[in-house]
Amino acid sequence: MHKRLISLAFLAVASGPAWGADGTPSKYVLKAARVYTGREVFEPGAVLVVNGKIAAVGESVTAPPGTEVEDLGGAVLMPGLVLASTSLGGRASGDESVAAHYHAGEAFDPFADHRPALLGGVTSVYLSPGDDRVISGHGAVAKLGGGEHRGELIKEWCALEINLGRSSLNPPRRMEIPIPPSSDNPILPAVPQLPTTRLSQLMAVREAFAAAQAGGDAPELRALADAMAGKRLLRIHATEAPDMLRALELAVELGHPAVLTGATEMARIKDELAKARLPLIAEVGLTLATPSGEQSPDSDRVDFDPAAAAELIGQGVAVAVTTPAGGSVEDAMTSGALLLRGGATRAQAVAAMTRVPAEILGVADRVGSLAPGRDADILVLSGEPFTRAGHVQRAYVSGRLAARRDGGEQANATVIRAGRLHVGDGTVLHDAAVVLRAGKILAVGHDVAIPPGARVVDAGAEAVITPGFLDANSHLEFGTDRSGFGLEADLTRLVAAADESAAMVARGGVTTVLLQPYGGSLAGSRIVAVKTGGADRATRVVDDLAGIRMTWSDNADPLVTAEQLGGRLKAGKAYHEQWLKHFEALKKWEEEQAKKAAEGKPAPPPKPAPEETEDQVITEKKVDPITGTWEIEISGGPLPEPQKGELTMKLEGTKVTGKFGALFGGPDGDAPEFEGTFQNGTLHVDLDIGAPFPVVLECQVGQDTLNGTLAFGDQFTMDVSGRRTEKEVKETTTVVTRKKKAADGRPVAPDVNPALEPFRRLFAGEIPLVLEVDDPVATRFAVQQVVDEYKVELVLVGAAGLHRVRDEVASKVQGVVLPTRVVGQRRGPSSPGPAPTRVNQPRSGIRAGMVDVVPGVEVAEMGLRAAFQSDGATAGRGLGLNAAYAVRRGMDPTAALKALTSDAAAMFHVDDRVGALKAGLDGDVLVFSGDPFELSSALLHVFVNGEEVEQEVHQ
Amino acid sequence: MKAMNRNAWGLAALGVLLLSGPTMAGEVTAITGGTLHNASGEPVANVTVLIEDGFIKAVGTDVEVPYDADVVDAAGKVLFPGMVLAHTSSGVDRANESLPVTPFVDVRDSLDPSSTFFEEALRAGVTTLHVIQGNDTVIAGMSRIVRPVGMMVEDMTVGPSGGIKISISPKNGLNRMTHMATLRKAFDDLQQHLNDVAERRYEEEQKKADKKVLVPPAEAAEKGMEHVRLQDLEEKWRTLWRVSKGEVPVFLSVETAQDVLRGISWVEEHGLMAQTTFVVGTETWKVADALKATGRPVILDGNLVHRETDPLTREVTETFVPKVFADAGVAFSLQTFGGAMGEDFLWYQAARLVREGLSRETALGAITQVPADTIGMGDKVGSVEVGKYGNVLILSGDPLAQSTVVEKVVLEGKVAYDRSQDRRLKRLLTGDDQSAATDNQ
Repeated sequence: MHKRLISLAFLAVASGPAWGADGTPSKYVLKAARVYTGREVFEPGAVLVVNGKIAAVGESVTAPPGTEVEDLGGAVLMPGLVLASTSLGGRASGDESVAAHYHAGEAFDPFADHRPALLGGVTSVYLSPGDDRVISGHGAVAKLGGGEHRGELIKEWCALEINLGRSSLNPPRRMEIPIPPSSDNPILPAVPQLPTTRLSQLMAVREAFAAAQAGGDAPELRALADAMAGKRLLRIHATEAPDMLRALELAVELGHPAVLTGATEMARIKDELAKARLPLIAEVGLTLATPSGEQSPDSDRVDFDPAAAAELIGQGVAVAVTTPAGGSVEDAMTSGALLLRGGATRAQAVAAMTRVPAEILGVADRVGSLAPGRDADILVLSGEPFTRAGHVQRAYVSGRLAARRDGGEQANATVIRAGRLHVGDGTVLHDAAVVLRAGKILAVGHDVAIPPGARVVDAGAEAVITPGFLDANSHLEFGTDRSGFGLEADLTRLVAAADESAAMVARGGVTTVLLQPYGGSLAGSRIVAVKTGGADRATRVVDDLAGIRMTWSDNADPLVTAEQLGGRLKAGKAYHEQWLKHFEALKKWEEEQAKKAAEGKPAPPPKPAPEETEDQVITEKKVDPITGTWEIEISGGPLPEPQKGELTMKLEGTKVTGKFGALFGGPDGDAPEFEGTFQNGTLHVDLDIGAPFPVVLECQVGQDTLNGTLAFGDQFTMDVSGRRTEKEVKETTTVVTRKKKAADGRPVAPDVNPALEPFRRLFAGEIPLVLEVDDPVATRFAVQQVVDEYKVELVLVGAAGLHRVRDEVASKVQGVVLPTRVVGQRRGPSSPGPAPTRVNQPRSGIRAGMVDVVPGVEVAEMGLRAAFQSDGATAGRGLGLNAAYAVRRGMDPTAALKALTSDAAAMFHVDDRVGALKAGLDGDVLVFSGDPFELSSALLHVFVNGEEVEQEVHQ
Repeated sequence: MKAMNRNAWGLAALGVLLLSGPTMAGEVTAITGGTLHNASGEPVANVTVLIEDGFIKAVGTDVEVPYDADVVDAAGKVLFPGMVLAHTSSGVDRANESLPVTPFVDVRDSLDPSSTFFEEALRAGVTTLHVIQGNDTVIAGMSRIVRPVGMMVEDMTVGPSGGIKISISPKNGLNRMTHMATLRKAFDDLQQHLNDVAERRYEEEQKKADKKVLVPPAEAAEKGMEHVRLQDLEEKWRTLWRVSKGEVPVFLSVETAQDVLRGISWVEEHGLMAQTTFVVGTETWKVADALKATGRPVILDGNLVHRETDPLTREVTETFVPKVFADAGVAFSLQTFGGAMGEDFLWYQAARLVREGLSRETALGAITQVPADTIGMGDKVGSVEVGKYGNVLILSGDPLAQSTVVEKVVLEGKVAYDRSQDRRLKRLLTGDDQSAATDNQ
């Protein structure tokens, strides 16, 4: 009576929780695009699992009522891999050359969390006791546990391992120390063991078998006798051809069922192998370029040849493929892929890693195939097995979801593939993909690595991927709020989680808007770059200042306006320089502090007194910009010719009172009196003339000039311009006392002026001045003022008159925001050039002498960057159509796409975040069903910051 | 030379600490005025503990103090049973043998009475220690239960009992399968030796009766088994034979959950369950139910928290092990590492249990009565009760409070430790080197 076998009793304790404990239902159906059963392939296929076993498998299965059915879409199902050689239990570490009593099953830990291996596809493993003894012990087969699920030994004392070849030569000498040693029982020298040569290898095996037969007493011989009595499977390991031939002989001689493992050089003896029909377990690993892979060219050893394995499979030999014991279990799928390389079919490769090893190891009644009655060990793959896209998404073990790929940084990766991909900078890739992760673009290219667990969107060969579009002028967050916002107003405060308006715009393909208020003046306002998707301000705001927006009124004298613009820039520049000076002083101070610290002198204690102060006597002729008498001229509207008049006004704070001596009265005195406001350079007056609609005077006031409009409700509008003829001048003297330095000598920062703050970034060259101007002369003045004089970047908006001054200014502007009207009209060229022949016969809808102009075409021809704008809140949803229409009317499609993406981003200096499909940029991606500028193309998917914008739900 | 100096120094210190020699017949000690906290039951104020000839004669509020008693005044103090450490490999010169199977060794030969470990133990209020070889073994030798005072091992020894360490977790250098094969082989070898001895004994008995041996060897061995006496066996097999006969307690080291299952299976197979105590590692909380089902005591690891890293997310999960065992209803003892950090004090380990939400009774029991029961000394130590050894701690306050110090240790009726006389501690606390210097001369 030998107490040798560790009974299976303890494994009963080790089995997992009861059904339903982990949320996996006891009955369910998995449907997928393809199901490999290990023997056949169903397309599509379905598997019914009941109580951890497979109840049915086929193209479709009949599910009993109450069964949960999950459609996995394009996923592929296959049996969990049965890895026929692993050292998951470790390798035996005894001295004995014949060590049949070692049992690898004893080293299996049912509590080990093998989820990484499960996600490598491996659900069952053969545990090998090692290969460095001629009889190294017994192996066992186990199912892996993961997370809460415990592993399970399903076959103990499965096979006896015999190792031929180099690995088992020269075992250590054995020494037995008697305790206590005595003269009767002395310490003897260590005893050498066989085999020392290949010649003695077979001899050692035969000797051991004979000794066991004879009833040897040593534990290893008794274990061997048990193996012989049970005619247990022999795993004869040999990697080199001569050893493999001897293994074939030995298998016949010992008369046990046997399998040849290792079998690296099967190509050299494939005829013998085909004849012997002994099952093979080919241990195939990737031969990576490492020094250990060194092999002399004259060596007669050969690498594993997958073609030979495929050929033997074709001849009906049972060939299983596995990673070598000790290899990376997580990468088991690579072994099957190598078999495909040799010409095996995918189904054969699946079988070679599932059903065939299960049959060889005698566990096919439990694992290795998706067939009724077998354990529900099922892999759900994202693509075909053994391909790069075929990652294991889930591994079911005995019907329980033991591992699934989620969590971690791979979690939110999305791969979008299509027939064509526009990078945005003019580059086009064919059959390409973009990978999004954590809101950013991870990779773009024809061939990209697919992160395990990624969601794959394959839009098809016809589909086209582009970057998300930019709307260069949007009032998205303002809705219908048309109030003016000065340059001091921080517009990011309007931004919150993306609402339905933002989603509308996003669904039109616009992922970034250059947010700015309605209207505009020379007073300026900020431009903020904002995403149309995102759950909070931080994710939505791309840049809290992407430009300074100003509007040049065409109604005013361009000289006067230019002077006003210069005034604005001058003030801004002075402010900017004041700060530069401060920073310089601060830097100097810091350097001095550092120097002092380096010299080891403690910083001098702050001297509280005397406090250094600086008196500044500021004498200014303070002229308020309104008070006085103004000569005005009113034109346009129903007026046949301009009318002159006089306006007297007085400014107190922001309140303006005065008399309107024009149109309605005359100089004789009964001019209507009014009250109005003056803010940020804009004069706003509601005139009460007893009309049934509001009469509003709104003017931009410059230095002694004003320009604006007089609006009569929605009836008509007149233009107003004026000049001050009388003004009050007050001379004031103020003494400003301010500290020159802080207590510790640190220079004091200038006061922050929110209205001038944006100019600091303008003069630092980080943002452009975005100026709406149409008149050609005004355009020229503007360029002179902004670019030539103040050397800051200029983007023109509208710029209807640009073509007239193109030679002078085109090279100086950063870009043009195209007018909202894709096709405009203007008077045809009068001279030079041939006069139109039939000027007086207008074509329908076109005024005589006018020609169609597509500004997009014109700007592109000038070689300038262009950008599209919507000038609306939700109107941006049609921006893509504007571009499509422009293309239809002759705009170069490459230029049009750039205008929607990279050009717009570059103009506003947000090209480090958006505007192109490049690694590291934001995950703003559009997927069209076809060419983005074909009106027939639908926008299939919109991603903003890597998140898909949900399609509109029509109720 | 240096080592010797240190030894001499330690011995000298112990000499001071052990204020008087072994207990003499008729000696009576009375500890009066303290508040008694046993692990179970409510504290009792103004208690008198009467100890005669080393054993507790009476405990109560109305105990009369004999005129000839040595009175130890504990007014305002807390009385607590001497703590019991059920498992330690400290105080010996090497915790583990390098040979895997050594049932023939005895920790007696390795115990070092001069080890400062015992001095520290006494200072920390531990009065009974089970010194056993470490877990890094297949079959280790015999252990010993000692008191932390005495110049010789025999002085230290408390009673004859002890046990043997058998490990299911692999010894350093062995793989699990090699380890288990080694363990099996040891018992196989014992069986073979027994067969040989039995056969010989049968022959001897037959010869004595002038009969001839007419049966084959196997049958002879079977028949001779009843005649086998301990002295017939080779010395190296004697202990293991006693183990297999169920005469020696087994302390089974199972460090991981899988080892617990394997260990339970192995113990059942050898019929040793009734004498087995499980010395568990932190991961074994996963199989607390399986341990509960055995009904056997458990000695927890000195590290009370199990940390596990998720192989996919790399998140670390922490489990407070004693809580799981307490919830499962397993009786467990706490142990310490043998150093001088927080975890190396039993009271600290117990206080952590209370902090993690276990009951005070469980926490105090895990350092007194439970370990006493575990080492088979439950009727002798573990609480202040009539009939038990007079091992009483006089504490300055609550046993689990950090500010509490052990003021006196009464060991079997004698004051074995007095903090006010603890020169080494004084030197440590005050930096005053004078007293220690005189010791060294």
